[in-house]
Amino acid sequence: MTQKLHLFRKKRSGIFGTVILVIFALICFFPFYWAINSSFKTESDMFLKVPQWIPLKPTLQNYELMFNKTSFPQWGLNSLLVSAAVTVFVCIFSSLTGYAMAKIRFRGASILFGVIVVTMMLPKYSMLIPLYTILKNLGWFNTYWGIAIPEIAGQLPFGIFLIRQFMLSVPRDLFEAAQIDGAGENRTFISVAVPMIKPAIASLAILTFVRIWNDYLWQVLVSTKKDMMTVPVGLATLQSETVIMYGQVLAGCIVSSVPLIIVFIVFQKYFTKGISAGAVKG
Amino acid sequence: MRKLIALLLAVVMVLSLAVTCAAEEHTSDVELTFWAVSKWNGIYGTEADGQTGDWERYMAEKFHEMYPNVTINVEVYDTKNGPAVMASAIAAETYPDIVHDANTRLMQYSNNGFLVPVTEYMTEEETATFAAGTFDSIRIADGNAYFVPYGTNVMAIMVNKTLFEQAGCADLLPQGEDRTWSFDEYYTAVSTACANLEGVYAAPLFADISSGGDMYTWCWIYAAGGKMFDETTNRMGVNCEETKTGLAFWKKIIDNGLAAPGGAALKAGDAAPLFYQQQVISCPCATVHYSRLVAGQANGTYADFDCEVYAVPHAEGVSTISCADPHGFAVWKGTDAEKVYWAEQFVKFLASDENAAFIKAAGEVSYKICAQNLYEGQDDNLVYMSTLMDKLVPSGSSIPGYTSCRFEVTPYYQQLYLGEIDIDTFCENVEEVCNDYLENYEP
Amino acid sequence: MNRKRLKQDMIGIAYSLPSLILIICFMVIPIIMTFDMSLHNRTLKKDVFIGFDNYTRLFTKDITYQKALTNTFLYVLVLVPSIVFISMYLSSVIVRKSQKAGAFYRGLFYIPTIASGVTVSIIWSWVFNPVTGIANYIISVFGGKGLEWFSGRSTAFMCVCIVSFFCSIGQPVVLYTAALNGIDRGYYEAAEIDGAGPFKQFIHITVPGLRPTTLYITIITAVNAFQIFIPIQLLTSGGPVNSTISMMFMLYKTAFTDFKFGYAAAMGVILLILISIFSVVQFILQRKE
Repeated sequence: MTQKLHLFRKKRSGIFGTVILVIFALICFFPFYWAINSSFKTESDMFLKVPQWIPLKPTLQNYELMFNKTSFPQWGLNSLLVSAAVTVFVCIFSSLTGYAMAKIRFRGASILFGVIVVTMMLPKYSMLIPLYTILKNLGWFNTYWGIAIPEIAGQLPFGIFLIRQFMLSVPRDLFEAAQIDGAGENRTFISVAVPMIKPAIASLAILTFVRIWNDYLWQVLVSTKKDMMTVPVGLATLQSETVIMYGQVLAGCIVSSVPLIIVFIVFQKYFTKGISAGAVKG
Repeated sequence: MRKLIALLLAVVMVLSLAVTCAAEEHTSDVELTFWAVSKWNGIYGTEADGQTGDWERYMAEKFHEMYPNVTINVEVYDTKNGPAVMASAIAAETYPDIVHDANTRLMQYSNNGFLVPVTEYMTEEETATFAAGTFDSIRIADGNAYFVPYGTNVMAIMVNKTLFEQAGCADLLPQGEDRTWSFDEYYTAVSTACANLEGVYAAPLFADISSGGDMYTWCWIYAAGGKMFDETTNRMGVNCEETKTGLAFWKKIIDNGLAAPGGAALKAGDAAPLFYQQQVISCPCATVHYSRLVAGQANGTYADFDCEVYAVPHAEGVSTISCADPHGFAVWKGTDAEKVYWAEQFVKFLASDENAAFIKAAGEVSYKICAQNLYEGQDDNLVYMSTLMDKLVPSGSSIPGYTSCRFEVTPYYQQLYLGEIDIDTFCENVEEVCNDYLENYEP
Repeated sequence: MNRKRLKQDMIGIAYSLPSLILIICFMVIPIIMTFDMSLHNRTLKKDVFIGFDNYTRLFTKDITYQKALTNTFLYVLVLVPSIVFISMYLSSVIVRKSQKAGAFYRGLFYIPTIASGVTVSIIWSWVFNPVTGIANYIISVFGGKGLEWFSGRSTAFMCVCIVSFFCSIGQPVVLYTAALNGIDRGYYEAAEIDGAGPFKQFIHITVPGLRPTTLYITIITAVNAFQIFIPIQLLTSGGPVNSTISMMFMLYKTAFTDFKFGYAAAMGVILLILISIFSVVQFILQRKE
């Protein structure tokens, strides 16, 4: 009797849970679905009193206009270069520093770690003017350096935090075994540490890539020339004070999301595995 | 003999030196920075792949062909976050040489002493090529004008004639050539039309002016003879009977359910689209709103309804008004005399007679006398709007502190819209808060 | 012994050096410069040292700022617990699904993060549009009268919270689903035998097992909530009547519309201090484990 009650309870809470899950998931997904839906309509169809759940007169006009009217390919290339470069460097430097903070017992590690974490907490808008002044003195406007290097600096605290957490969970014995075998720190790092935290690095890669790709604020400050603009900056030029060309804006956002979705799907398995270990054991 | 040759050589040397000196005036290479907040896409506004900044770059190239020693680097800023970037640059002491921007920011720069007065590089003859009153309308307290107005929107009201005909009351629209109507005539027209149509409202009245568009909320005040900002006293002029009349009419439309719902949070940029989507039958607008509608109807973005432009309705006993938001070119003060010289030449080139017609690309009206009839024979709505240039009232943009103060009014407008405060309280509060702000404002 | 220590130190520093250089140049120095700027009255043309005047003015005279302060605390109080607990619950449901279904749901929740706050906010503004919005349409289908959404004082705050919630729920869900997979099945089985129902299992096994993750997510969510800006900028501009204003929004407006850079810098420093205090508290709570 008790067993049956248990199963019944489990099934009921199962159905209840699934219903809630589906509702929340649909609400999360809804804006994206509506954006895709609207991007294939003309603007007069987008705002009908009785909404069209699927475009009745689908049109590619918005996508055409967006690709023609804008330097989207150039923006895409810039975004790709910057995001990829930043991601690579963030992963490398975070791994090195995270490993050092977690495994190499050196004096001042905790203080440094504290400073690094605190830098995460000042909003970027506050730092705009000082950063601008620094960039001006370096003469880095409208260069790839100017966009990429401050972004690397901005993402490093998060990356270091993540890698350090994950490193702490890797058993010490592995490292000690390597050192008994006579390996120096460098050897230990390359042949023991990195393979153990591959998932964490992969997760950091996706997160960083997505974040840099969508980061509008810093990129708009640095790239004022047409050729240097990145995707979010370029898309913002489609909105003026008087009228927003919704169709093109949405088309642009959808196209901009596609590479990110691909990256996410491809790296999905590593992503979850990686974050989990770091966060759980942390 | 030797002495003669030496003398000859010396003379030749001196002469060639003199020639090169004379030729070297203004021939050294200069590089200028041009900040452009573009008003239209493409060079002529009609290209399918036109982008912001194309025209400015085209002009820079043409100028370079005329004067190969001058290179102009164009930096394009959008209206959304451009101001933040430009502000950061100025804060970090990075200044441009030439600017193409709207009057709000140009007035701020003028009041901060960043710009070169127009009289320093334009003769009386040159300024006479502009419509009368052009430079007077942009003078600041010290009596100088600091930028060259190139084009402007004028304010009017768009009406969906098709829907009016559907409702059977197209005869209630202004019939005269001057296209004017009073508050009562307007109210009768829109209320009758809305009563006969389903699910359509009279106008997209909005109260969220935090991102601009305040002109289209203040138009009812101006049309009653009132004002928000008073340029003669550099303070608020809001607390007067005429203003209250205008606001009362604004409230009348709202309280009788004729305004599109959600107006308290509606922004200017979302108001005109309601007209394009035929949710409202009239809409206070700028020239550019009308031009965008025409362009959108041409490429099928918006439905093809008949749109007519009239003057903003006026109160009894008050003549028709309109308002302008000029944009133009300015020369930044600099320490390098060569750069300033070439910047001045470039501004004069941009504002010259031969380049005046480009303003058509923005669907706006020109300040130059030679370009007053740009739309003759092409679009009588735009021809009509050009005639409204004689009826402009000042908006207060020359007052120091105007730019940020105008946004301070937003919460009070929202309260008035929602009915949380009455008109008298609104006027008193706005006057108090804004005067306080203007008094304590330091550039 | 000392030599080994020294060698360790040097290697540790060497490994950290690239990161440190970058962080010092582009994070620490700007923070110091910001703090310095906050002690000045700095506008487009001026730069005058005024000590802590900016700070005193913020707390005593600036009513709008105080409203922004309370609003921000409200945002944090509403968003952090709701995101943490609801994502925890949703994740516990997801892990009971098959591998493929689980991955599918995770993707759906993560989409708003990928699609960027700007697009998502635009769509939400359409959903809540009183005239053409789907929210009011659905209500009217059921015979009700549409709500004011963003134009109502009380409803606007709620709308911003809803939008922010659905934009932020993705990452916590992904984290929790992974963490849940790490809890030993054995505990659950033992509890089953002891007769504990699903709810009791949740409270006594799941929640404690997730503690470390919960703290991590709490901090990140709180940091984002303290800095809430994009939904407000795009949807309500702080209105109506300043009911949805936040500290970041005021900071942006003060710096880039009013050009009061020193004043805005002071706001930034206060935000930094508040978030740091909150985070330190969280870390201390974690230490207690």
